[in-house]
Amino acid sequence: MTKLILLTALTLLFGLGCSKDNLPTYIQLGDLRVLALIADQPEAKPGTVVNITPVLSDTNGNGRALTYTAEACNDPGVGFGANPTCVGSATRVVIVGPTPAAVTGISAPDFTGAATSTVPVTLPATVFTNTTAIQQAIGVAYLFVYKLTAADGANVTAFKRVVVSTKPIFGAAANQNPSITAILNGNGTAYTTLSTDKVFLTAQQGAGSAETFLAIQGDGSTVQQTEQLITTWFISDGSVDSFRTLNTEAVGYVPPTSLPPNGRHVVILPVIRDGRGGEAFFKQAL
Amino acid sequence: MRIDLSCRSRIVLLGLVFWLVGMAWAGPASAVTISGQLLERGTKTPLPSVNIYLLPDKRKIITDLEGKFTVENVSPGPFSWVVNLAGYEKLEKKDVADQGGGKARQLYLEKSSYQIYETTIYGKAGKRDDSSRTLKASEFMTVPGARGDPVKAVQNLPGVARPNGFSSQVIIEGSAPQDTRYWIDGHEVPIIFHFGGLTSVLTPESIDRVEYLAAGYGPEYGRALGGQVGVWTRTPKKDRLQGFAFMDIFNAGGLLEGPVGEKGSFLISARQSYIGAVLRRALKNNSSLNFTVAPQFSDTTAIYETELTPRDHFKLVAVGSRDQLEFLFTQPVKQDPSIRGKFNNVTAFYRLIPEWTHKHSESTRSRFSLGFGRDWVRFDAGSDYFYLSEYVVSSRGEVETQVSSFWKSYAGFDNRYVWSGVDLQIPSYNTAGGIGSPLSTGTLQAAHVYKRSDQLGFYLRNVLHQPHSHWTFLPGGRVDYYNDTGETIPVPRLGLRYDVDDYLNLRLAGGMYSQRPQDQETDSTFGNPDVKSSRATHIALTAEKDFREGSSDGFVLSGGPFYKYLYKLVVPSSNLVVRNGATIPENFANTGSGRVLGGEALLKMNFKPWTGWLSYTASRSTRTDQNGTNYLFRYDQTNVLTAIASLDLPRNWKISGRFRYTTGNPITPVTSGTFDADADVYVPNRGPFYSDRLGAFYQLDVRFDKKWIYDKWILSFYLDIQNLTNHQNPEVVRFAYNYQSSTTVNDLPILPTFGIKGEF
Repeated sequence: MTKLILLTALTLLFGLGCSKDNLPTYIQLGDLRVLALIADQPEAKPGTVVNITPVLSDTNGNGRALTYTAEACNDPGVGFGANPTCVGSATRVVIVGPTPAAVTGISAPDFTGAATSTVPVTLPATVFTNTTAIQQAIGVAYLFVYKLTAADGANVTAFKRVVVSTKPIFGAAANQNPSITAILNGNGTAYTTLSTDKVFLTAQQGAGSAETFLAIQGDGSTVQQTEQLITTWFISDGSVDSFRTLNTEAVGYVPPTSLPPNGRHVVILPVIRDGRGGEAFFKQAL
Repeated sequence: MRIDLSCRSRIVLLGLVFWLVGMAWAGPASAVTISGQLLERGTKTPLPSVNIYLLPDKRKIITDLEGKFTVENVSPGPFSWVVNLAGYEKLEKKDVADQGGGKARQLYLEKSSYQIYETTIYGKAGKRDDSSRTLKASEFMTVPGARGDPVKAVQNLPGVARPNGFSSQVIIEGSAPQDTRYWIDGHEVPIIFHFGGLTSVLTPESIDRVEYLAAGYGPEYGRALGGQVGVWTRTPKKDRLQGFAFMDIFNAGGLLEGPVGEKGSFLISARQSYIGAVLRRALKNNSSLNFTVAPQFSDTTAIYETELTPRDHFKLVAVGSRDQLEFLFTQPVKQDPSIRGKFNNVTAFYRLIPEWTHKHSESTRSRFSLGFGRDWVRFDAGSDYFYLSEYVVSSRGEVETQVSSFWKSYAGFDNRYVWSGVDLQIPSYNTAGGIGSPLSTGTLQAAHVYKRSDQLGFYLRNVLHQPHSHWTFLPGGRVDYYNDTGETIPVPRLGLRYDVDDYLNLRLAGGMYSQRPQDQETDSTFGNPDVKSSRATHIALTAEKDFREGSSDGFVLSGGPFYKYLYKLVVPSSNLVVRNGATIPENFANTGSGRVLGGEALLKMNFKPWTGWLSYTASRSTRTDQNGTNYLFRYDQTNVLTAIASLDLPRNWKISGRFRYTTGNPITPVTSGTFDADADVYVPNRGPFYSDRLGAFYQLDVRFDKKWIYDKWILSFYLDIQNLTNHQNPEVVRFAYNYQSSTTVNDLPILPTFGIKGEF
């Protein structure tokens, strides 16, 4: 009951909160940000090497040098309140570090996009220690921690849980990433040129993005479900009606009245997630 | 002989004849009998044993027990009624005694004041627990900020911390809100306040008293580490059919009560809110949030009471309550993508409580009551849900015996049996340090749970007092059985009282207390089936001095220190454990402990037309978590000060005010966040738990009451202005998405509310 009261209060606070503040806006690109950590295989068997691509932004960084460290470990229980860190874990594996490596691929004029310095992560078999066959079929999280640091000391730490499972099993297949192939405007054509008026944009999904899959229950039975895809609309300029949209819903976008300085583009960067670790993004520079 | 009369003489003679005949018909002086009833103006309450004078005859009559009177041999013609009764305005009313007396008179006597003020009743008649305070509901209706609710008014008592924002939880002496148990007529209920803490689930006018049990409370009640807040319904009035209807900006309702036969009486009341319509209007321009069912609450209370025999008394109480809120987030909310779609919350319950009291002899009586009911909680948030349905049967019995001239004993039991079914699918929610992680970072958990839980307690309370002795000993104890943890826990309780004189006493109360884990804490999916009950030891010392020494005006001062040691507390655990060969989250463990040390004082003043009180509590409440780290408890408030004053004014005006000051609640600092790339949110990186505090809370509330008294009904109006100075009281810290900056969400700004009530 107490938890429900907390949930109700939290929901109302988020939904009805009426304090006026000058807090930074989540979708506004500017500061040093990690926008996504995309594993080429969001779910895989032990022993698989998964490559993780960081999607980064440092729009206001003026091209400052960026470095990163990376490590991984068995999930200490982040979903149940444990701190998302591998420090102190017996299964900690330092992938890049302690000396940081340079981030590559985040270049002028927008300093936003996918880093070419991807990180390989080997999924260990030890992640299955003290787990049942059903837990292994459902999937066990393997924690990947990525720390991004700018030359002036600004930093962002991000993490991702790569699902390690024995799929395919019980007829269920491993999860795949969704994809975005284009940003469409209201008339169904690609939005590649900055408009002067408000437009309604949708993220065109690649085939099979919203998977229909068999979810394995705690007793080993399966239930068929369909993914709900949520798109987050990051923008460098202008404004949007909603931060996020569900599935193929459109978002209203009001372009800026003037172009950004220093030859920088107006960037719209939707990131789509399937709620099971699958991610994809699309960058449109206007 | 011939008598020759003139015409004029004949007319005079005829008139004389008519007069003589008339006199013969009328008899001597035509005395008149007049009957009637003397009633209180507005309430129509009969006024017994009151002297009524008739002028100019200088006759005196006395009303009977029903306020009725009969006056015989009243001289025909005009006269005056005169009534002069202490506490009432003088009545002088002209009347005319007609032949035959005319119809029965109704004389209405207007009280000097219809405004009433709150009082606290201590340790005198009818109270046996020296740790308790009893608030008479009828005298507690007009405290500013309490919205006419005596249960809400408990928050003005010393030892009670100020709850957050819209919450009305009663946080007792450094304990957690869930450590307070709520009951109606001795039977536990799932909630005592409606949505947002606006009002309690009973119509205030159906409440006789609210009982507040704090540190060192007696053995009649248990299963709560902090204390108890109990509501006792009242006996419906038997004198006549009466009632009222009211409306304010939140809700409207009414109450009807009256006699049933010669020995019985009934009461029925109902309320329905319309706050949702107000909110819907306020949010009509918010395109991302649609109310599909506006927040609303309703409740019904029904009471029947009768005397079965001179030794047997029966009472039946039915209480029902329902709260519902439903809205739609048309898009995922900014802060957390998992909060989206339909949000629906229904909380409802009903209880049927029959009670039988039997007087075995002058020295022995017994009470037995049952509680039948159902509870429903339905919570939908997008694709997540929690459905609870449970049947509850509770029972309570007690035998009270005057064993000897110095020994009185109370032996009893209470039992609560619950069949519950829960269907749920919700993410785990981490609130370590009072900072909630976004729901989307939690692991989704689903379960269907069917459970039976039985809580059984036996208690014995003794009062040992030799006549003329200064000392009173109150040894007792109870044994509690919890079937879900398999525990049988004996807990001793002891009270000691020393009466220095009639106006000064010292009281010591202490004991051990247990509280079973909450259902989700013992659940195999969401909790830990191995957790056991939490325990506590209380001790409290109170001194009370009545400076009035028999007069009605003056001061009463009480207060003293209290201490609680809490151990085996069930606290959240983020550890992973291996159970039945699988690695699973431990969720909860009995590894918490805590200490509370404080002192409280209450100064009550009565100097008519001024009344008021000043309550103050200083305390420090700490907790130790599973890692041995000691920190302030999240509800710790070092200083809590409440001052209430009231002034009765002529013409049934009253003005009252309340000022509150509390230290800000401890908060956990957060200076950064870690980006969860799967959930698209940041997870807070918490600093030392509760090592910072919110700003202090100040608030001044003012209330104006006015009553218009008519012969047969009363019209009341109130204007209650909360936060008159519009002080910005920080309530919650709101963080930027990455937790690198923050702002505060403030409590309510200046908030005027008003209402009217018509009673007959």
